[in-house]
Amino acid sequence: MNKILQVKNISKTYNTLNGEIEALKDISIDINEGDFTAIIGSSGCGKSTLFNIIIGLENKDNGIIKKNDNLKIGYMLQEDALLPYLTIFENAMIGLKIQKKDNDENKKYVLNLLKEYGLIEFINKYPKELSGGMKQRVALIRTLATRPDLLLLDEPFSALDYQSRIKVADDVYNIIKKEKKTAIMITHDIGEAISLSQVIYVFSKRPAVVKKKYNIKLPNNINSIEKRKCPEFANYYEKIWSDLDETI
Amino acid sequence: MKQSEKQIAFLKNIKKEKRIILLFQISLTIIFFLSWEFLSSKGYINSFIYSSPSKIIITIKDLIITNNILKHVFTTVLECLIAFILGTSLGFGIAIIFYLFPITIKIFDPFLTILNSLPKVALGPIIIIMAGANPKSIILTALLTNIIVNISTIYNGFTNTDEVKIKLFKTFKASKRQMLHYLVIPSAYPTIITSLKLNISLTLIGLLPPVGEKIFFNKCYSRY
Ligand SMILES: Nc1ncnc2c1ncn2[C@@H]1O[C@H](COP(=O)(O)OP(=O)(O)OP(=O)(O)O)[C@@H](O)[C@H]1O
Ligand SMILES: [Mg+2]
Repeated sequence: MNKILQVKNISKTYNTLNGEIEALKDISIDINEGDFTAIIGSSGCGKSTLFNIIIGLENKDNGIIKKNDNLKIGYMLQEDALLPYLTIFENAMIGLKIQKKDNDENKKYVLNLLKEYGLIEFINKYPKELSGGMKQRVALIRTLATRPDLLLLDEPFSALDYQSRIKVADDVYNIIKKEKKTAIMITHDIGEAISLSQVIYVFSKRPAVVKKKYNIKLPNNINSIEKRKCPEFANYYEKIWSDLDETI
Repeated sequence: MKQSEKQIAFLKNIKKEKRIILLFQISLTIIFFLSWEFLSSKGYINSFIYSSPSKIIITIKDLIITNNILKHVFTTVLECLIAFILGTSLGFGIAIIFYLFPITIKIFDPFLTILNSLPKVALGPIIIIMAGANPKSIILTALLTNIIVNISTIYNGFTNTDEVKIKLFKTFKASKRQMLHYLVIPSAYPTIITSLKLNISLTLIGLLPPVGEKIFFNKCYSRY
């Protein structure tokens, strides 16, 4: 399979007034085009740091990141971060506006996404009138609007309650699959990782190294809720649970 | 159908509340002036010291006829307006510079604190010596009283911008200008409005120094 991104032996140490913090030690991951990959690791182990390095918000100390020069990367944050003073449509367009690509064609594309994902009636409303799950969908559309080839999702559902979390996760997964995007998702939720991904990387505690890599083999013609009922699911769950247990 | 009735009731309620608020504000104002008038005309308070609304109206009428007070009021309002606009735009500009170049705020912070704690009105005589006995020094005094507060409230508004949103903008590779335009300034909007309100009263305080207007000029309202 075509590798869209290769991270090789990345290390990163933060310098702070209170001393050095070694966040990443020797991280290597490969991302296949079209895959949904999950990264699991304990809190503060360096997962967000890896994303920040991939997208260029932080410098790395060592290692290489191999990707196509024109690979476009989109980032979806833990919070929806919608701007309260803009309408839903303006919020969905903000990335394009910043990149000066808010032309008619792209406007149409965004309107289509909003329509497809049940938000068309809300385009002139403000974020405070939407539910948490809807806001999360707007945030995803805002990221999709710039037509990235690779999506980085940093705990995108952590602000939601458990019930809507499973539903919204399924929604977002389906949107990503339908738009044929490659995605890497950071999560604390083992079940979420297994039910959504094709590949899972388990990180050790800080400084992070890749502790295990799993290729998840579950039937892919069923939704994530049904996947949770497969016997293999429990198997993976147990294994990853014990991996994390050792790292804590 | 039922839903829309509820909606109508909801909107009606909001309107009703607005009316009640306005009603209270107007009646409070009327009650204030009426009781002032009553107390002073019945001699409960000394009308020589506290005056009374009717006397004020008579004086104003008098002043309009004999002293052309409107000209003086106009001058004061103009001075106030100039100092207000200058203070706001300068404060805004300086706050932006502080935000764009964080090292500048670190350098100037202690000086701003010192300046802010100075009794600016007391600087009146010095300013008159520096700028001369003309409206320039009045405006300068007024400006001095409002600008520091202006800078710091607006700057604080800027720095309170949500970190997550800043990160979002960075992921879109927003320039500093875009960051200010689409995120930092709109987010600080409520703070800026508060600052403007504060600014009006501070500007008026700055206009009032007796040393400024009363001694040197004929055109002003603090003269009376
Ligand atoms: N800008 C920074 N300056 C200094 N230290 C940092 C910075 N960003 C992160 N760190 C430190 O690096 C370590 C890894 O942080 P990171 O945010 O990557 O963790 P994480 O795995 O994403 O955690 P979580 O699951 O809680 O989000 C933490 O100990 C954190 O305190
Ligand atoms: Mg994180």
